[in-house]
Amino acid sequence: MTTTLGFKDLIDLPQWRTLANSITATAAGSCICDDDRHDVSRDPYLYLLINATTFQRYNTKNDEWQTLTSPALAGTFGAGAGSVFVPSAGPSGTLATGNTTSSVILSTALPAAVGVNQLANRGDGIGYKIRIVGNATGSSGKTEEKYIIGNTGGTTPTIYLDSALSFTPIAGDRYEILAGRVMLMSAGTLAAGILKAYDIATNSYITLTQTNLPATIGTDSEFIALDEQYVPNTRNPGEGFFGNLVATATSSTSITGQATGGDAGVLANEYRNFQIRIVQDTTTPTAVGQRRIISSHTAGPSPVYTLSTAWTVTPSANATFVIENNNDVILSTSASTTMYSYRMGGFTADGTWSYSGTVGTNGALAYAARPGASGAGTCAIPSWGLTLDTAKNARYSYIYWFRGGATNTLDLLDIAGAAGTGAWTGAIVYGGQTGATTFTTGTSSCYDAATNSGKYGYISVNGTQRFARFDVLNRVLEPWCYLPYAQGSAVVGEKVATGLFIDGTTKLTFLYAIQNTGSVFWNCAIQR
Amino acid sequence: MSDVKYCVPVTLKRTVSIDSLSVTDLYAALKSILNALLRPMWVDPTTSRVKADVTATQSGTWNVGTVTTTTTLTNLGTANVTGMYIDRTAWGQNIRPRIT
Repeated sequence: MTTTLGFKDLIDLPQWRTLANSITATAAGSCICDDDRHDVSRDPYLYLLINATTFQRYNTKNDEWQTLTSPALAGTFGAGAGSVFVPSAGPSGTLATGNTTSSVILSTALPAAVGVNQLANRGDGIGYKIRIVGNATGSSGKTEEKYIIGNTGGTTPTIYLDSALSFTPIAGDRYEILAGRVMLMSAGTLAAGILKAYDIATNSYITLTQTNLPATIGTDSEFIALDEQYVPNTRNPGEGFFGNLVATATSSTSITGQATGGDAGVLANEYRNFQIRIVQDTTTPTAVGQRRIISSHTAGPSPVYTLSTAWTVTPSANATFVIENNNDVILSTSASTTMYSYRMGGFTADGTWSYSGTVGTNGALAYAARPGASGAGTCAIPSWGLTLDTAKNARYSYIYWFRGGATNTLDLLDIAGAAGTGAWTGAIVYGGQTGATTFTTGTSSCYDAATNSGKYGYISVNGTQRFARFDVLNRVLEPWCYLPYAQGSAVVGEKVATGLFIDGTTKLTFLYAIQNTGSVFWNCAIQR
Repeated sequence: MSDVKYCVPVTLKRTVSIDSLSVTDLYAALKSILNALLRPMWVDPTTSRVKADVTATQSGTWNVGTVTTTTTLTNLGTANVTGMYIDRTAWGQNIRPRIT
């Protein structure tokens, strides 16, 4: 029987409860992050980077922590350190021969060897999700996702699927394990090894390129992941913002959307700088799996999406595609107006970072500089989980970014605001804005895309017992549930995250908070 | 584990006017006497007062000191007596019943 939520306003007040202490106390730069997918594929762990050598995870279903292998980050850990969960990062590559509809054999090696059946239990008894793309020459031209129920050991295991594919993959078809990676960034003087990724599926680390990040990372940092797996609250990961769309025309640099339904109602450039991914093309199978950024598009019906780079293989005129977030990780850091970005999602290869005015080799967009320098307490809340208003005053492309530095200034980054850069509006007006609520050291935020129509982001105000939430649909800051327990000294770094209860269509998000300068850990049901 | 004896003075005397004595008064007086007699009481020869032994079992010390952390009520005793469990009980009573 499906779970029913029976909370009544005023009678049933939100209430924090104490959870298992973290193993190690937090300090300046310590940061926690979570997977924001809102279906069963969501990773059950929260990831807490305590310092350069201490990285721990919390199992939201079992209420206990575990210390992972040291990431051994370079730099001097402290203010400015940060982390972010990227769900569409992980092992990927091509399949070998010998596949069946219920098992596939990897050709491209995993970054580390896995034990037998390791991929079939991510920590809560459910296996990781794997995406199979039938894009080898002569293959199916289909994309299908399954959960892993077993695997052989090693770096090129045979992987067993929870249900049969509708096609038999052939050698050269692509696999993508949607387990996610956690980007970990230390602080201090920039150096090789200051930036790494924890590969969840294989429990291993990968060193990422730090080139083009600031020479000294400090003050405070805020990451936002615009991952393709992150979709509106009414959608499931993999469906993008509209579900599958059937093209009505294609060219080497464009694809045309639907005349009715789906994307037929888009406004001009509403999804500029978003991603198009080809998910099925049985006519031209090798076109499947391609990802391209939209540089501009016309209004619907039959919107024409012009791409920032041409297709490698032009899809057929009636290919099936999705419109998704662009897989960039955006970073505001080190008391600067410069915005930094790295395309970690979409299984993108490593390369140099992009920053305002310069596109790096990794391919992330070079976002425009923000209107004012960020300061301690800078925090951001995206909008991709929303149910939009009819007038589209709210957009999936909006990111609300508090400037920090003991101000209440809120800047708005519209990802779709200009080709390749997005556009900022500085110091926007918002409800609940008051000189008494400013944001500085200890402020951090997280986004609940799953419930309340995806309109709330939660803010730990200055690392105190005060909390607030920001409504990205209506641009209103409102108080959230007071934490009745004492915090330690406020320190910079992300100290809040979310977990999600799912039972069929019933979802209940939990807000988690790790103590500033301490190890006490709490959560609170977001019951309204 | 240790046994601690407490000396609890018990007062049996009650002044009642014979003119206003009711059945209720008699019942209450009788109940008081019988209850007292059922307890392991003794007469302190130095004060001539009836006293009772109370045996209690505990671990740790009895002094409840300053609450210094949010997870452990210092000096209250075993590790299981913590704010966490009190907290969870409250959550279970207030929030959990709404999730069915």
